[in-house]
Amino acid sequence: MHELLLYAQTPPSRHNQLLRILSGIAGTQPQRVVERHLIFMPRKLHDSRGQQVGGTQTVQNQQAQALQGQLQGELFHLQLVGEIDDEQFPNEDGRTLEGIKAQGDEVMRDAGGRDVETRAQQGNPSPIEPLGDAVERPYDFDKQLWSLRFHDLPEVAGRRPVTSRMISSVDIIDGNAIEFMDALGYKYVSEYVLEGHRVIHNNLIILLHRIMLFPPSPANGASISSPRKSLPPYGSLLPLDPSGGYVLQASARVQDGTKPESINLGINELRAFKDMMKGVVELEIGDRLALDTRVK
Amino acid sequence: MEGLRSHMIFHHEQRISNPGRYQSSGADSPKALPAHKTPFLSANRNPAKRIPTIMVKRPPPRLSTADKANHLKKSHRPTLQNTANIISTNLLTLSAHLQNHRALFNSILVYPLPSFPGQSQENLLQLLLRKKLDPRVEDWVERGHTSGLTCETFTSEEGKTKLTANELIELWEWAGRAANEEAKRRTWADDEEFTLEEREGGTANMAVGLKRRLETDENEEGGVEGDAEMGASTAERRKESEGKKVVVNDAPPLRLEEILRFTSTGALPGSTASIATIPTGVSSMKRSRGW
Repeated sequence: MHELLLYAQTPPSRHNQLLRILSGIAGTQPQRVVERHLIFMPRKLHDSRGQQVGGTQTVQNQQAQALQGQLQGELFHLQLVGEIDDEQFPNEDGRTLEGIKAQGDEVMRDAGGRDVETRAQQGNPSPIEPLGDAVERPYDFDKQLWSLRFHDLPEVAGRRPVTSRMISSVDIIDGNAIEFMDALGYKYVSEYVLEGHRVIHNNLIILLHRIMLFPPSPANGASISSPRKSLPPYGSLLPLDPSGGYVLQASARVQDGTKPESINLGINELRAFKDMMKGVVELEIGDRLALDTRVK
Repeated sequence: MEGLRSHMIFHHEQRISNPGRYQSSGADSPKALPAHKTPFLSANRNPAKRIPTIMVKRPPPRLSTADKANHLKKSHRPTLQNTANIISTNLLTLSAHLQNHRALFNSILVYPLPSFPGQSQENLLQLLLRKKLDPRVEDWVERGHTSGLTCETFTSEEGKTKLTANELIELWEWAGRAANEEAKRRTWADDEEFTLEEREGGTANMAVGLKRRLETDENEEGGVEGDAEMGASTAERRKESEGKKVVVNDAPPLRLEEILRFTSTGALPGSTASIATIPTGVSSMKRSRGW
């Protein structure tokens, strides 16, 4: 499957306005999206770097180079993505489940300009608290359903006005996904929570989201070798972007990426959307190298 | 008169639609239409209807070369910009490294070993042993220096511009967009004229042209507080405005590239791989030089 993408950034103060505009364009209510992403990388890297470090100027013969190329191949990061509910986050003192839920819905309430900022405020760096001692923990890590995702390095943009890349997503419906990744030779690198809203407009999937990080836990410091079994309170998540800004991602998925007609259809739709949003947000092509999932 | 007009049109059309034939058929050719017969032939033709076809058959207006260049420029602008970005980031990292290890590079001396193939690698040897820069490189350095100086004079001398008209136009075209971008980054207060930062800072410190009286929050609330019904909501409002102050975060937004890089490889912002590899390169260079 191919994915065509355009990106834009927006400050937290414009989040609600933008979300209203988007839902107006699409004519649907935005859907709340909270996803947990685990990033994995191959455990064993081919140790081919050792021969050419830094300033050595030895010239390799071609055979050795070719062999090295084959040995090296390309290794990619993989992701496990699991959807979670807002309710699955444990309670935090002062904020009830209903509170979180209400805040989730409030975005679309006809806010008289007063509760506009509350959402943005929610994920803002608040004093980090120890993992909440919630009484009940509805989130069960072992029951979390995952889907395995692979994103290829985007194609060289060339004349195309959008980022296009090969993607593949496999739902893991049974068994232990983490152990499976281990058996596959992949190790856990890090994880994040994607929170935001999704709007579908014609064939476009429009995701207004931001990336949240788990607060650093005092117990095991920086080196965490396995995903967390439990979720911290929602309010203690830290946005990756210190300003709390959101990312708008418009994507079109094309089943058969080899057909230029279907790709063009997607491109045209994205371009039309970009034109429509002109003045609201400037949608742009994503940096190819920043979207590089290869292991270096 | 009517006949003559239609004749003219007919004739005209034929010349355009079939120029080859018109030229080949001379006046004595039997195919040439005799002038006295044309009114008869074209009597049932509606001249008004013919005109559009003539219009259509006119050769399309030619694009001037400037237009073409403009068009090309526009269609390739994003790719050009991307490439330029890549180049400039590479140059930036390069110059940062050069700057970082300046002392080292300045103090490095070259001692060719006797085993160095001086005969076959003479060019390389000379390049390494050269104390002055290459004349070409020297030119570059000079050009960079002068353009840097001119840039400085532009920024230092206020009011006096040495920009040409075209450069001024370009500057103003850029300025509108840039100002808009900058404005989008701020958190605007309700009245959309001052940002929250400015509100908090007060009118005195404002560096803008707007000299309008700034309505402070105290004034607003003082006006409303007398109303008994609104009492509760004002309290809430005050709470929220306090909350807002927490929200206002001066941290600049993270670059989109950094966010995308994190989501695709888990590399936290600031820990770029390209910078991390350089020190090892330097140390290995040291090693190879026997330090």
